Amino acid sequence: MPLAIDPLIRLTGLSKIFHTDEVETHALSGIDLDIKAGEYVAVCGPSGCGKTTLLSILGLLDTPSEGSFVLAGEPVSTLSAAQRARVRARAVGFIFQAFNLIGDLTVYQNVELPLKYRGMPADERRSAVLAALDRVGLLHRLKHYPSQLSGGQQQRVAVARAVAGRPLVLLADEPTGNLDSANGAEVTALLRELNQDGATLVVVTHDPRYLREARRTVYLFDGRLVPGAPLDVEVA
Amino acid sequence: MNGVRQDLRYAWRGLRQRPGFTLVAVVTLALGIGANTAIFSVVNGVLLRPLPYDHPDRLAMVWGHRTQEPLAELSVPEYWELGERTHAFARVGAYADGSATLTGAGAPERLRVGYMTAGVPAVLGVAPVVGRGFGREEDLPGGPAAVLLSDALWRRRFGADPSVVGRALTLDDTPLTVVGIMPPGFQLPDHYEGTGMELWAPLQLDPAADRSDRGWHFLDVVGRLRNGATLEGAAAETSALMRGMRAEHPTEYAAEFDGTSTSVIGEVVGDVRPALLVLLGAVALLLLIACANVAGLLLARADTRQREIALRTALGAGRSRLVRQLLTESVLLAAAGGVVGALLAVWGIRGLVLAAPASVPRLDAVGIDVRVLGFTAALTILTGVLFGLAPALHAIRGDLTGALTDGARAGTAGGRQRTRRLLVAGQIAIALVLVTGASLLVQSFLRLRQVDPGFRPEHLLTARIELSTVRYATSDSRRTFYRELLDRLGRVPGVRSAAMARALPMTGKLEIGDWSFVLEGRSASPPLPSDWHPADWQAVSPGYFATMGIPILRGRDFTADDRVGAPGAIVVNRTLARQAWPGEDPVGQRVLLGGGSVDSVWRTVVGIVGDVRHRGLSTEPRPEMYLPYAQFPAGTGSVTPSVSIVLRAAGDPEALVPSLAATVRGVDPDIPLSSVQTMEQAMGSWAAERRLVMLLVTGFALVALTLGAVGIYGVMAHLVGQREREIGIRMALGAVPDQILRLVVSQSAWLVAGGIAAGTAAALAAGRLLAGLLFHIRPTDPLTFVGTALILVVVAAAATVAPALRAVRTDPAHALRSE
Repeated sequence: MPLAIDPLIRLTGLSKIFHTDEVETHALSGIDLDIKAGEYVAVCGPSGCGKTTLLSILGLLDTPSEGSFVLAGEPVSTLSAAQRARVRARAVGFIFQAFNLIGDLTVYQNVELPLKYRGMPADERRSAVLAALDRVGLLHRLKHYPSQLSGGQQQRVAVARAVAGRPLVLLADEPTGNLDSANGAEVTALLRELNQDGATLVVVTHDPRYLREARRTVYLFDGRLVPGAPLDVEVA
Repeated sequence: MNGVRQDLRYAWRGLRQRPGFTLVAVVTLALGIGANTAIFSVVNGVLLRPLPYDHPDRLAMVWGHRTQEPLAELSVPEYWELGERTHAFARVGAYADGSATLTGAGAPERLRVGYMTAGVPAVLGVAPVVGRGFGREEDLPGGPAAVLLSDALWRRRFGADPSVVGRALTLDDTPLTVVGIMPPGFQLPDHYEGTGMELWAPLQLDPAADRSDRGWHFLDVVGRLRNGATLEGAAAETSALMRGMRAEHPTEYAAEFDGTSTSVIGEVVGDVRPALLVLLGAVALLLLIACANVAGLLLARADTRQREIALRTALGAGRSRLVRQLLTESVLLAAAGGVVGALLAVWGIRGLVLAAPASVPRLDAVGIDVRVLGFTAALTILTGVLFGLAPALHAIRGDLTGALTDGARAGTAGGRQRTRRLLVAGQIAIALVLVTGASLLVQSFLRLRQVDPGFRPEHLLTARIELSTVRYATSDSRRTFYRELLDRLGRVPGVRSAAMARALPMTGKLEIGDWSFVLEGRSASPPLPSDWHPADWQAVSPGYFATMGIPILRGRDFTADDRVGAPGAIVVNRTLARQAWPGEDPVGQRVLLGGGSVDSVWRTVVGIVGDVRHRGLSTEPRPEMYLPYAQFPAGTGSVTPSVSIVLRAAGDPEALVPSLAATVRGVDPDIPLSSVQTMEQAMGSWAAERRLVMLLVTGFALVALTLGAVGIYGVMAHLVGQREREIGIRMALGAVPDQILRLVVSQSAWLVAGGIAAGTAAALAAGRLLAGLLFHIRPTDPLTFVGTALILVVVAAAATVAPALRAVRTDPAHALRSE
């Protein structure tokens, strides 16, 4: 999974301003951040500091107001919505706090969905879906619907969905926020394993228990990276 | 009671708080309820309100007819023998219609007159409200001249003055004594169309008249069934009687002559019943669509009321209590829709009565009465329950705990969505039924208009004149008048040619009637029943064919030389030529009309003309023969005093109306003109009923399409709104805009496909009901069904565009954040 391109993600002078009526809200300001392939980066900070906005931009769900974003050597900050969707399908895997599985689709269909959007042939899709579900230990739940699963199982399906297409980067937004401690630990372990297998992980969290899992933590405050903050350290 | 009041107050407050929703729902329901009320009021007035006779279900009309031929009136001997030789009827009466000019009490006025035997009111069980009926002596030939007035004429012309009874009126220059006033709304059974009759005179049939002459069928005969007798029994007895007469008078009847009896109720409303039932069905479907639409709106609201319902449940409200409260709201909505709908119906009824052609009977009985009000009230309550029940049940079935704890994540409202989708598919299905019906009717109408009537109706002006039978008592005086009038009309500037006929094609309900003849040298002596050839008969002036634009295929037109005393002449149409002289040239052949004394001269065929669809564009041309009016059959009494004038104009025919009136006045200032209209107007009136049904069904179909489109839009917009987060997730997983577009459109497509499939099945079943109103198109016409389905696809696509674009424009970051 790690690429030779270094860094995998480069943000330079990145800002995001939201306009509501006549009010400007600077959600992110002057963010400079490099993330290497295979890194496990945790993004933390208080509520409203811009963590989710940063993750949206990293996941190409949103575009920066200023600055540049280079993903795997390709500038992506000025792409159209359709172009961003194509890059997203190929390069980004999302894991959400609320799992965000689609209730009308089975476990198999949920995991298969991003691969369909990517245009992967059916036989390749099938083996990728089965491999991903095997990885999270849910092969026996292929035909179940999300409502028939526990919270931990749902998040594991979400992880399988995120990794099935072998994206360049996995973005996780409070992935254990909706789970009890046992299920949370299970998912945390799963992410650790993925990283150990070479996956690049960017995890937004403000739970210090999980920050230790990351090899590097960046701290956001009022939309800015706080250099030298206690948690902005690389864990050996 | 207190709870109901509380529910009403709460429902009222809830509706006031959402004026947009309330307005849309009330307008939608008002359209549905209003249309139903308006059409039901017509059905009520025309079909349901009892005829103003005593036990009208015990009354029957009596007819003679040949196999496959229209029912025909009876001749005088047939009428007498019916009374003498049948047992099914307790009593019978006969009547005929005509017109006369009333003078001496204000301005001269041409009035429709019913001529009836003295016993007709007793047969019908009706008596004059003022004065008396006809006495026996008044109904004998040469008896005292008496007249009964209609209530309408009595009020209009005599200010409802009861002392008019006993006074003398002058009708066609003959003094008559008013003996009574008939009840309001009274008409003889088949006189309910148009304005009806305004006065009645005794028929004065002669019981001692020659009974061998049976060819002159002009009497409508009505009978009251004897106690214990049935209509079927009366029909069988009439049939046996007519077949017996045929055997007794073989030279007077065609081989297959028969008879029957039909119900008076069917006679009055039979023709219009299918059209009214189709309209009633159409508005019922419209109301169903309206209900589905409002139910869809309520279901959408139910999504936003989950928390409120859950809270009420938590506070101890039982399910039945909640359903009652929600139903109160829907019934209140329906009541508002019902009130507005009733107001719309008042306008609608006025419009319908104004727009309805004269051929629709009993229009004066159409209005809002207790039955219509009851219908509207029942419909309103039923509507409220119908569209309110499903949303109410869904509202109380939701995940109440989830709704209280985490409204945003309390399920996906799957059940409600399924119901809404079903409702929309149902709306599409119903809209398809209506649009298919409208499309079939429109095509029928267009095809009918393309039918060649057999003459050129453009630039023709027509009018009816009726001579006073007192001042123009003889055939000679009438011939002189007609000749003089046609001469003068032919010289009027702007008139290309002028002619006259006994009855013009497609102008009102003038019966053309048929007459049988034998071919010279090809019949036994006396002729056998099989020797007789029936044909409709006309009496026309020279120049009639040229004026009407009827092509002369062989031979010649009538000329002034075809006069009294000259060799008898006759012109036949193409159909008659082929039937009577197959493979031969009829010109020069001779025929003798039946009836013995009626027309005893051999007539030579002098020409063959093209077929004319005299009885309407939808009726195939029948065999028809034309006699010169100057050689009008002497045995009918005399040259007819009542004829139609037709002028071919060089330009606009309506511009000739003043000249026509002035010319008639110039010949005789006391002769009234009536039914002045262009031929195209006459043909338009003839098709007016068909046109009105077509326009109404098309209007309902358009409203249905609009409501269906609103329904599709509502559901798709709601679905997109509900699925914003899902769409955001899909985008986060890499869906490009095209894939999101396909997602939304495919959902709509499934709804439409389901609706079209169900609608097609329903429309195929309903098509049979329409069959009687169609012309040259089958109710299962595949092109119509495909075209209708395409229309619905286009409408559905248009209704889906906005929600689909909204889905494509979903900001995934925002959608996920709003979680």
